[in-house]
Parts: sequence; structure tokens; C-alpha cells
Amino acid sequence: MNNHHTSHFENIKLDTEHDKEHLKWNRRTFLQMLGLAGGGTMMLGGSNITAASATPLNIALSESENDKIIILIRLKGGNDGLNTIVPLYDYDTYARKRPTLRFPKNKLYKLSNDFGISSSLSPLQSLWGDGKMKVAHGVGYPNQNLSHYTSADIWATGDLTTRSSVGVMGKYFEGVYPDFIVNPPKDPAAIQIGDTDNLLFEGPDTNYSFSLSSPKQLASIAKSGWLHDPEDVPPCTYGDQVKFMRTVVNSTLKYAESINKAKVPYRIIQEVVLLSS
Amino acid sequence: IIQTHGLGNFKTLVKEIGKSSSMLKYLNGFENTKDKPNENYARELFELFTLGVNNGYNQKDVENTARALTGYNKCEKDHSPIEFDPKTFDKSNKTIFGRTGNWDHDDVIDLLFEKRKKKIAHFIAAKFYRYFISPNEDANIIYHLSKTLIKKNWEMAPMLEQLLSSGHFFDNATMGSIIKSPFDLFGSFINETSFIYSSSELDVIDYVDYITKTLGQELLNPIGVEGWQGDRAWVDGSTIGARWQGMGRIATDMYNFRDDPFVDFAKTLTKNSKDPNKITRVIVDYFLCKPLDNKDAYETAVDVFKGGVPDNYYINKIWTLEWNTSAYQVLQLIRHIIRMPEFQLK
Repeated sequence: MNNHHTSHFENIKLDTEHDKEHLKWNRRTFLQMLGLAGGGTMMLGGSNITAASATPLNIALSESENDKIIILIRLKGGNDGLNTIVPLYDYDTYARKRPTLRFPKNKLYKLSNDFGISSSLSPLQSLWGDGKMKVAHGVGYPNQNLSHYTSADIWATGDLTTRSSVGVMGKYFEGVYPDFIVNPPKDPAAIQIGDTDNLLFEGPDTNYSFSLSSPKQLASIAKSGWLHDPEDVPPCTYGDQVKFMRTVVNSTLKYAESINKAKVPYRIIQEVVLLSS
Repeated sequence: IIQTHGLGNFKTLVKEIGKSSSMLKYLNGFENTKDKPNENYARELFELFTLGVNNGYNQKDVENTARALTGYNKCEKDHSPIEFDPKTFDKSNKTIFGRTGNWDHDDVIDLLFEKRKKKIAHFIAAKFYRYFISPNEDANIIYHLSKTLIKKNWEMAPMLEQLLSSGHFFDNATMGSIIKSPFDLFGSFINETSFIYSSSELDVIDYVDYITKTLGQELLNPIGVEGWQGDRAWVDGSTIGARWQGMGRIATDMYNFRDDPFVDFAKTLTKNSKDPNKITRVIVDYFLCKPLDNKDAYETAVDVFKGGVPDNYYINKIWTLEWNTSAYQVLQLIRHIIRMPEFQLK
């Protein structure tokens, strides 16, 4: 069983065909470390389905009292959709159009007769087998904007004209919490980690997420209830002033206490921190 | 008067300001007559301007001083300069600091500076210290400053020169001890960057004037006679939010007006580095008076700077400051830095 408390580099099984890939941070290692998938090894298409192993994240999610939690993971950058979910129903056209990029059939796992996933996503295979995964393929828009920032806005707002600055989730929460500013919910509607200028949770009047710059910040709040350590300061006037300022800043975090007291196992957040470092 | 004598001779400053029409109106000297004495200015002269609360004077000194300050009550019409009128001046003897005589305004100041020399010097030296160095007074340094002030016959510039060129001033131990006033916050940001807010200087002044007022510092109009309390009085849970918003807004407005200064800023500071870690660290350290104690905070800042540009562009050294995203990236980093607790210190 994977030990998630050591460096992620040590846990990667070296693959003779992609060794160099493994040493770099990439989507595959990300999925492995999430622990959502079992420790699947390379397999040729269409064989055994391994059950997801009991990782701490899996256990915590299954123990959660609230089953209405969505975790949105946004991987920055352009993804090659056709090489992620490969069209087996017209493999020949795919292969012809991609002489050098194509995956040979024996490097694909069959999700169904029509689609396969590439071997680089092999950790997801067990989820699929357990019926815990759904795929929405062909999601995109014509004439994709090649600017990462503009494209991110389009994805967040669903607005191709890029005129809107209201995110899809922002619109949703506007309906759920019509009085959000005056009467905010006891617990955060959403927690956003990283990319704090992303529009996804941006509503017309307010942003609906409790926004942090990094998973480490979330870990800090979950563990100790603060964002900035008020005690770890040098013993001098500067240190006193830093302590004062940190305390003031901490006091502005409306949901720090709620997050601190939530029954989220601290080790889950530790895992997330490890994940991104 | 303040502009003329602000860094000049303190005794002259005190002597002239008590007779200025503005002060006579502000602290009721104008109403102080021999028949109806008003103690307000006499009290503030000692308590706030020269000695400190009950530090070397008593109620009798205040009363008698008030009587000695009478006579500045003549004013031809509204807003004319206020002039001395012997008819309303109290010509009787007054005992002040143990000396008796028919003292007038200038006599009072002479007496004050003669009989309370050391206390005044200490009082003023300590004020300068708290303003430029730290709210925590260093008795030894202040003692030496006060000696200089006396030795130079109340000329303030030599004392200030001594302070600002001292090893103490440059001592790392005292750096970063002062909480920025609202004006510090915006003024130093404008000075330290070459970002452009508007083609009109008046617009910048207007904005700074407006925002500092929101934050409790109306320029040229202190909150009370004692002036702005400063230090921790500047910041609490709600003014910190206003500081962030104000700083975020000015940075964004500057970016919207001209974004190339943001790129130039980063290029100049980092010598055109291609390394987001180095760029982030250099810019963070530029705005803060000391490197961050919490090293994790640099990592967070790097992530903010890297922003929407996916990591492979950095890993493969494709990204540079020449990219058309870089100005925005610098803006985002700055918007992050201004929210650091340490950014509020100087």
C-alpha cells in the first residue's frame, strides 16, 4: 500500500517506456497520489479490473456525513482530448490523422466498445470498473482561445464572448444564498485553493468561495485555526508588530473557525499539500 | 510656519505658532482675555507640544501662563490677521516655573525653554524617535539626541541628521518596527514603483487624499490636537480590509492605465530573469523591509505569480518576462504582497 507520507517521487513505479516522464510532475502521478485509484500496473487492453484500494482519502470521503460535496480539480493548461478519451469507434481515422501521436490499440483500455482511455490514465481504470467514474467527452468550444487566461475565463463563465465576469458556480450560489453578504452561511459555500483570480465562484456582487492561495494555507487553518502563525515571530519590536499584524489579518478570515472545527481529518489536507509540492 | 520651521529651530517654531492667527483661533487664544482667561492653549502648549502630561508644570503654571498669553484678541473683521491689543492684555504679575514678572507670550516661551530645557529636549527627541525608528523608545539613543538638541540651541536638523546617519538607524534589530500610516502605504508604493496612475498628477493626489481619509488619516487635518495616534491605532479588522482594497484598487488602476511599467519593473529588478522563483523572491523582498520569516510564504507567492500559466512552460524554460501575460502576473503578485501582514510595516 502506498505510503503517502513520503516524497511522491519514491512511490512511482518506474515504467521502462516512460521513465523520464515519471520523474516529472504530470497528470498521471497526480492521479496516483490522489489515492483515488488503486496501485494499478500497466495492463494490456481489456483485462482485469482492480478494486480501488482503501486510501486515507477514500476512507475520509466515505466517512463524510455530508455526501453532497463536489471537488473540482482544475488542471491548468491545454489537454489533448482525443488522446485522453480515444475514439475506438473510428480508430482508423484517428490513427491516420495522428501518425506520430496516436496510441496503438494495445496501449488503450476499453471503457466501452466505442471509447478507450490511454495507458497514462491507467489508475482510473479501477474506478471505471467499480462504476465510480463517468466521462463527459467532447467538451470544448470552437476556435479555442489560446490564451490561458482568456480560456480560463471562458471555462469559468461559459461565456464565449468573454464579456461576463460571473462564474458558473457564482451563478449557482447566487440562487442558493440570495442574502449572502448580509447573511452568510455558517460554513463556507466553497473553498477555492489557488488561482484566486479565477472567475468560477465569482457572482455579480461577491465571490462565493473562501479563497486561499495554496493547500498549505488550508492545512494551516484546518490544523490551528489561523492562516498566519501569530507566535512564530522574532523576539524584537519588529516581531511584536508582525504578531499584531498577523493577528489582525487572521481575524478577518470569516471561516477560519468553521474550517478548523470541521471534521476533516488533518491528514487528508496533509496529503493534498504533499500532492502539490 | 510649519513649513518654514518644521526642520528648523524648535524654539522659534513654538514662539511663532502661538501668535499665529490659525493657532489663536484653533486653541482659543483669540478668546483669552484678561477679563475672561481661557486656559486651553496654555495647557496644550505644555501637555502636547513641549513637555508631556503633568511633566514639569502644575495647574498654577497653566493658569498664570494663560494670563500671560492674553492680548491677542484684536481682529478687524472676519479672517483678518489677529493682532495684539494691550487693552485686553493682563498686565499683572504672573508666577510661572517659579519666576515672577509681568510676562507676555514671548517671555513665557523664553522661561519655558530656560527652566525646562532637559524635559523639552527629551520630549521632542522621543517624538522623533518614535516617528522614525520605533514605538519602543531606546532611552540611551534618545538621551544623546536630546543632548544634541540642547547643544545646537534647539536646531532640529542636526539632531535628525545624527539619528538618520547613526548605526542605530541602520540596525536590523529596529527595522520594520513602524506600522505604515495610510499615507505611508500609498505614498511609498507610488514612490517605489514607476507605475502610472493617470496622466494627471492631480488625479493621483485626489485618490490618495480620498483613500487616506477613508483609512483615518485626512491629510492636513489630524484627528485631534494631539495629532494622529499612529502605530496600532491605524489598523484593526476593518481598516485592514480597507487597506487591501485601496491598495488593490490603485495597483489595478495603474495596470489598466499602462501595463508595460509592470514588466519593466520586474525586468529591472531581476535583471530580466526567466526564473519565476527568483523573480517572486526579489519582488517580495523589494516591498518588505525584511525577508519573510515564514519561508512557505515565498512558495505561495511563487504560485500566485506563476498564475494561469501552466507549469510546463516554466519547467521547460519557455516562459519569459517577454510574454504578454507577464504584466498581469506581476500585478497579481503585487496584489498578493499587499495582503501580507509584513507589508504593513516599515
